[in-house]
Amino acid sequence: MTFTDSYATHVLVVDDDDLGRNILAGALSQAGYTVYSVDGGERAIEYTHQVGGKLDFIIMDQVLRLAEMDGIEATRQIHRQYPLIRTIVMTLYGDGETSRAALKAGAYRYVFRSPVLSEAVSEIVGLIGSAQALAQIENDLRDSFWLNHVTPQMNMAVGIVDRTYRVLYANPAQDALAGRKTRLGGICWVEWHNAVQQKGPCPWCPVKPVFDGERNDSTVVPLFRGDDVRHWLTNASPIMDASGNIIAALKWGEDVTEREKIHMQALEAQDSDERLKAALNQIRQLGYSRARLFELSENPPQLIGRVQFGSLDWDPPKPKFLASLDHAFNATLFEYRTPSIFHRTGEENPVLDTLTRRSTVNEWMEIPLWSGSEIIGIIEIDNQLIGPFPPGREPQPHPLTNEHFDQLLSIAGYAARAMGEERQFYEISRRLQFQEALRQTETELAQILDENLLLKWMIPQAVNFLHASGGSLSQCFPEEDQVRILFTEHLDLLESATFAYGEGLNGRVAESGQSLILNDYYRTPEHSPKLDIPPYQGLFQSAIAAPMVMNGKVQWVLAIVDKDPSRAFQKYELELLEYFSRRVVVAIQNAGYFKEIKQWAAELEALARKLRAINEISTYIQGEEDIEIVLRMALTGVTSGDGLRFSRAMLFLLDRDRNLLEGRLAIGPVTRAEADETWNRVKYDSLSTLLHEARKWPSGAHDPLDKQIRQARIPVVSPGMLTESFCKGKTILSDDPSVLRTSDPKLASLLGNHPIAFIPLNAKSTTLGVMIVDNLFLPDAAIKEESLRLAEMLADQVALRFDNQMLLKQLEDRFGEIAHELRSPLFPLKTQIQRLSEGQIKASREVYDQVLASVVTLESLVTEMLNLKKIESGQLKLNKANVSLRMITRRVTALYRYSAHTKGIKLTTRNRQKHELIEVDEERLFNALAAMVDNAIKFTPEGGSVTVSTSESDAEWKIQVIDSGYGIPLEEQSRIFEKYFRGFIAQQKGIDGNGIGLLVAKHIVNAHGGNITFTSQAGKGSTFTILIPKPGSKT
Amino acid sequence: MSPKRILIAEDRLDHRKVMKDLLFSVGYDVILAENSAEAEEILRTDSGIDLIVLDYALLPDNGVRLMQKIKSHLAFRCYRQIPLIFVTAYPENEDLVAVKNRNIPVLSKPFRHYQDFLDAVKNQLANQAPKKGG
Repeated sequence: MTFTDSYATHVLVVDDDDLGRNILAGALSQAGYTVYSVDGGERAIEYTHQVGGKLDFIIMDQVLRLAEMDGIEATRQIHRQYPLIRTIVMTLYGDGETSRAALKAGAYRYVFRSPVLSEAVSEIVGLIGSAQALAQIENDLRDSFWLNHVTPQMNMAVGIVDRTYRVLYANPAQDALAGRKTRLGGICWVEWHNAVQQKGPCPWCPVKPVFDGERNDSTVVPLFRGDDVRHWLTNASPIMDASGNIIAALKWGEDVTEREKIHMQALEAQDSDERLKAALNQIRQLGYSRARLFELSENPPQLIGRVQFGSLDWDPPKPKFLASLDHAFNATLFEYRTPSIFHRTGEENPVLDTLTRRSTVNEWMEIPLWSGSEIIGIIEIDNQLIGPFPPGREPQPHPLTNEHFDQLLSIAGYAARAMGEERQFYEISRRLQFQEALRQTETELAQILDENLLLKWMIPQAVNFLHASGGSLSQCFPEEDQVRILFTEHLDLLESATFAYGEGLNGRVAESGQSLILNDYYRTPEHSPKLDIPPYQGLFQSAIAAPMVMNGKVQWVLAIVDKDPSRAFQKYELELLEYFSRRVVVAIQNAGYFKEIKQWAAELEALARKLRAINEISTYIQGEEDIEIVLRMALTGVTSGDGLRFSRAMLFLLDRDRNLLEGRLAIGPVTRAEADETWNRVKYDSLSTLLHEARKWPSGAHDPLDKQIRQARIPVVSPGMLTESFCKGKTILSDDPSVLRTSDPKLASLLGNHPIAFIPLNAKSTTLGVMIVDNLFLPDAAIKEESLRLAEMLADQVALRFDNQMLLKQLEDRFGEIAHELRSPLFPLKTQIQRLSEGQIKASREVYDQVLASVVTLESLVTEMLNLKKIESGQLKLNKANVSLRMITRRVTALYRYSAHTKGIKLTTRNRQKHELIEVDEERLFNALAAMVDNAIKFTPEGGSVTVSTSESDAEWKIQVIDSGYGIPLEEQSRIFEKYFRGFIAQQKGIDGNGIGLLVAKHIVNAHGGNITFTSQAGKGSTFTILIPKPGSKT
Repeated sequence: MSPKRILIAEDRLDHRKVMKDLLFSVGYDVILAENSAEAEEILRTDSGIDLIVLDYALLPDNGVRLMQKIKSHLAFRCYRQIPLIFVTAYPENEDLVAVKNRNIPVLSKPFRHYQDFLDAVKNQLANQAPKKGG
């Protein structure tokens, strides 16, 4: 060892700068050190080897220009081999990086090599001085009794930490730390100052640290090893040099991670039997001939012989249960509180006498062992002389007295403490073991997601934790007043055994909800008499049980038993069992939630699948032209496994002419055998496969059910759920199978009695029919609301398909009609123009009128259609101006003069208004009036009259078109403004028209804030009245 | 030779008028009916009709049904062989296939040329003439 071997301090100066080197060496020599110097890193290493590492300090220049190795690398190499040499590195730059590199390489300190070299020199000299003082203290610590003997016992970490946060020293117990640089945490400085400012002298330690009492986080210094915090250095004390400067701190503290274990080991290290023996030995030394120490355990009360001396036949008795000895036990052993001398009276309990080996003794002393406020054991002393003695020469036993009373009390106290600590140790040890075991099973616990598995799994676990011989798990059935054993571990005989509530261990725990210890089971009054008889008797000796409470009720009871007669379950073991059961209950609950979530997810998935199916079916049927195939596909979707999964689906459609619901199609089996056969056949077929197949079915009935249904005809007016569903357009679910028989007997005879649902096919304006579904061949034939909603969605799709088809047909028809309407006026137009151009006829007023009339018809048709389009798209805009009402009527009558003339109709106007100008959109009002006049001429037979009359009141303009035509039948009067409406007369008489003229007129007048009304009498004619409010009037 | 008498059964007034003008202009005698019932009535009461121009879209019976009636009903037995010409705005109508199959001219309105109509009338009357005479 460098410092201690020689009195002098050896310093090596390494510097390539001759001047610097000489100044430094000189200064250090002057301070009394033995100084050597070299000019390069490699020379420094060489020299260190030469002297066998016997150097105290090396002053290392950072940059050695002439050498190939720099100061830091040299430091590293030297430190690796001679860790105890303190290298002070002189850095040129004073930057953090170099300093860290130096410390990392193993430098003791670094100093800034100031340009004023003397500054660096004095710092170095001071550093060496401090280091020497530290070394001295370290030496002293090494010889310290406290460090060498006390701290190893306590497994304490002790170290000296200098200002660079380095551990300079660690005690032998922590020798792994010795000589190594161990990183200390950043709060060291806070702690440092606390230590320096507050701590007084320590009674044990030459450097006088002081225990600072409560651990305070702000003064805790974590001591690292690698990345792990190994110790908390919680206590500190300043270390001063000869001049009183603080140069380091002594710190000590406990192991962090294994504190509990160390504590345990410390207790274990104190062999309690040895301590008890030592106590009895002291009694022997007091001159007594025999002593026996019994420990009293609590549950059940039992005496355990621990140690003795003086008895040749002492065989430490196995624990004996003393439940039956309660009386004697209390009377003779523990009714006193202090050491007492007893004399034989002849009334002693012989069992207790035998147990305590005092049957031959007439006089003995009992010394209770107190721990806290309870007696935990007893020492029995006597002076029986121990032979063999020659016959007749037996000496008289020395009589017992009170002379050693104080000593005996003190010895008893020592023994009681030893036993108390031992108990504590066992409890801690069990707890730790249990915690460890539980920790190991925690992961497993969380992974078991099945209630039964958890229950089954927990028994061996608990048996294992408690080092017991077996266990069971019972389920509680309060309504049956019964607890039934579900699972067992090494208790096969008890499998499925039942106990009444309140009977035995399980019954009592189930009833009370409280855990229970029954040690010496068969002798406890609470035990179940059922187990007294073979083969149950003697199955176990001791047992504990904990209730497992879920949702506020005891659901299960976990019982753990032990066959070992010396085993007595303790309270803390019960606590552990309770804790464990609670953990399992939580796991069971979690498993339940998981199951629920899983089920929920499965339901969602099923729903999503069904929605996808509906989407798929819908795509197919909307693109299918053949309505028969549409129906097949829809029902296939309703019944297929990939679809809505109904057992059967049947379709009734309205036959309008006969007003009855006609069976159109059915899919599904009639018998279970057929169901099994069909579903096995198509089990793996995807929905699209089935839909494609449905397309290829031959027409006509395809299976027995279909055949039956196709023959069914049910009048709409007949009562029953089918017709009700149809008439109201509402889904009806019949859950009660018996209802169908009475409500729809015809259907019931076809389908049987079971839950059934009726789903109407609701098209836009009418109900087309009803779809019937059932779940006859499913395990649960009930129909769920949700499935019904999905079936409705599908029914809507079918109805939509019908709607679309109708709409398409309507559009096609309309298109044809419009084309036809437009072409009609072209016939006279084309013919007359051809003839004119070929000179076949001469231009005359009449020809012109004829041609013009055709053009007018064409124009009004086109105008009406354009107006309608504008009205329907909300784009009708009025372009109002003050125009002459008379001019408008005149234009209209001029336009229709020819038409009227050819029919011999008298077309007249009557203008009665005072004011001529009216503020309207002239063209639109003209269109509206023209449409009305056109209508009037068309619906007036030859020779009739049409009058256009105008007048005004204060508030409004009034324009009337009065004809002497066919009139409007009463039943049609409400419909004449409907789009495309063509009345009976128009159809009967083949009167042309597009069915929009009046509608457009009404919209136009409405847009003016006015209204069109009419009065009509069949056979006599009609009067249409346009009322347009004057600007400013309120009506 | 008195002018041939032609019955035009046509529901639209302007169409009736144009066809009447055409036939009149080349010297035919023209009788007009605006629906099938009126046409039947004329046929029942007037035995001197030489040709019927039938619009398909007649009411209450359409032109084809009227033709069938004329060809089958006892009341019209003297007109069983009467030459017919169909005019229609619905030339693609399926009912008219049967008409075309009997070699009865079906003219679409408006006519390609009005002369087609006059030619058809002329041809039909000419084809019929020998039979009538015979």
